[in-house]
Amino acid sequence: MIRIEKLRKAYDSKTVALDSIDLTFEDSSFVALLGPSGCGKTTTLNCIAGLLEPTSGKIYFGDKDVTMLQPKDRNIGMVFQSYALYPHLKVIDNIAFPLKQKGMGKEERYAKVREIAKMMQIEALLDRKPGQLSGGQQQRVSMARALVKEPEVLLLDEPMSNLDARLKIEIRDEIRRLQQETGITSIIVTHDQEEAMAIADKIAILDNGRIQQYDTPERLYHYPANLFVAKFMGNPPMNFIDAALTADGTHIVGAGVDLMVPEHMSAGAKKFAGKAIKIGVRSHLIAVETEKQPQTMEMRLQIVENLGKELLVSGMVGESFVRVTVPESHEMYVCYRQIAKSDKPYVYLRMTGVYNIFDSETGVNIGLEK
Amino acid sequence: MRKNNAQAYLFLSPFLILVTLLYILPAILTVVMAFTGLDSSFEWEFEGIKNFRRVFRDPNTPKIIINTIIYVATCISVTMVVDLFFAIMTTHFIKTESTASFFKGVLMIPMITPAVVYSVLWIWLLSSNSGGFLNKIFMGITGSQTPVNWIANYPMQVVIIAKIMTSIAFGTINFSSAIKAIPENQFKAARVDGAKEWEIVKSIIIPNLRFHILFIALWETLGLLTDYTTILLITDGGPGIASEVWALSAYHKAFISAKYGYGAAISLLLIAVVLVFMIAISMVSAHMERREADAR
Repeated sequence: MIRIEKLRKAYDSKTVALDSIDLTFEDSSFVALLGPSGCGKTTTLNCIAGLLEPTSGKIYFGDKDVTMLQPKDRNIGMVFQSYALYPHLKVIDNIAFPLKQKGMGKEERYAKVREIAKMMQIEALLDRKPGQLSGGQQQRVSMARALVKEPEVLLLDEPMSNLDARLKIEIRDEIRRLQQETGITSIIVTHDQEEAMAIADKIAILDNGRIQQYDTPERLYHYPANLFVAKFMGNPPMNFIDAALTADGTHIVGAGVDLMVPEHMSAGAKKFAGKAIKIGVRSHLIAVETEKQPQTMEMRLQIVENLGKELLVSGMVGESFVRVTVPESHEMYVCYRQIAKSDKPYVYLRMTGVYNIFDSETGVNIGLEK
Repeated sequence: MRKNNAQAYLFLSPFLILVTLLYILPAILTVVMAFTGLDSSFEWEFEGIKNFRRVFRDPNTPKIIINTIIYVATCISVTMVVDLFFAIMTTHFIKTESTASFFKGVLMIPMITPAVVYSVLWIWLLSSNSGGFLNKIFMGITGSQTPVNWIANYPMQVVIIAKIMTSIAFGTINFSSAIKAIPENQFKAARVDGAKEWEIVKSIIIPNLRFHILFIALWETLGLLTDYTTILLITDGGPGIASEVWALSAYHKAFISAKYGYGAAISLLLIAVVLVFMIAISMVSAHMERREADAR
């Protein structure tokens, strides 16, 4: 288990890269540090690696305090975005480099390298120089180099960012497979939420040097802790509709909106009664009705597009732009287009699944308040 | 297209004429001159390979060749080691930009000091009378009453040290920028992989610099073979021919003894050696360019 306590990294009094971060990584888990550039995710990783010295705070590997240890004394493997292979060494010597530093003999070294190369399916490349390899092959070699010393932790710093889209998915699956086979605790830094969702058991979302939410991909997707997380997670992005809570906190009202607060949100809604809120709802968790019904939102229809497997219906609820995806059907497509062209271009949106409400001022998810 | 070419040549023509007059013509003249007995009377009298025969028969030639080899070999090996040392220290270990720049600035001083001023400084430092800087220190420490004539006693050592001091800056600055160009992640990877600082220097920095090292070594060798200013100003090849090197002997024969044809022959032999180095340099730099293109 790896534990980070109150980790802080400040370059000077104004530039604070990390502001008191607490994180726990369970053994054999795969955790993603996710966030926009400059959020502090790489700084966190470098502190765990020992490449950066934190201003304050502690890092524990198991019970051992490693905060002040050199990278070489931490038993970590690291994979970099730009592969960071040693250009003058053959692949076999690149992979053997960490073992050589440990003082392992040549034969033993090479035997180990061959073993890991077999696992990574790069045996045929061992006698080449890194310059003769493709990006995907180089990344495999750098993975092999990180794993060959059987590290306690595997750190991956945007390992897929330099690869093209198809290769990205291939390497992603490969990393996941290796992690599950070896059971090694792994931490990946990425700015790609899809990648993080696909690969990680848990995701820590960072912004401005603070953890916004640390949770499973499913929880992050359906129950984001605040507006930042809600906006960051998911593609297409979540819809946000401006509204307000009634003074008794039982209803959500706004331009064309009249919804009853669902049971599980009622505690939070009471706390924020009377406040301006944003409704956050995913585009596929909305149904479109052509007639006005209770518990719906009125949307002025603007665009109807056929995307092949689904219809994308978008328009305005009050002042907020909303996209809805519904299953493809030619009939409905024609019907929606007619409504859009008519002089009463209104449809009614009904929630069919999870949705969240956020306080407009602080951005917190009201539904998660107790 | 063709019109553009014509225009380009038109613009270049003054330069091309100048280059022909000032660069190519003297080169041809040197070659021709080497086969003549040209002297202060300026009569172009063709003598065949007589000059070359004289060079090889000259009893001083072996000594001059040995001097040249010692001078070039010592200067180049010490310079390269010191260059690398300073480059690694100021770039890899001293991370504060201003401190590193200060050190590099200090190294530049001998390079930008006019050779005459610089040589006078050495002559004063090593002056044979008791007022010389080194003699004052030497006599102060040892209590000896007789000043040492440093330049006369150790002519090769003196010129070699003086030359090395002026050569350091060029290589250091070159290596330093080459070290900066090594991707930071290679250092990070090496640290994570357990490499100690010396191991990083040995396995990351030096291998990444290998073509720069080769290039600078060849370049500096070329300079050492052809440039004799430092020796001329400090010892003038003396005492006797104790510190005479090949290029300086060409100068002496041509300008002091006014045997222009003979001097040209000596130069021509040097040029033959220099050409080999120049071909090597262009091969190394072509290789470096290819490698950089590959890296991109």
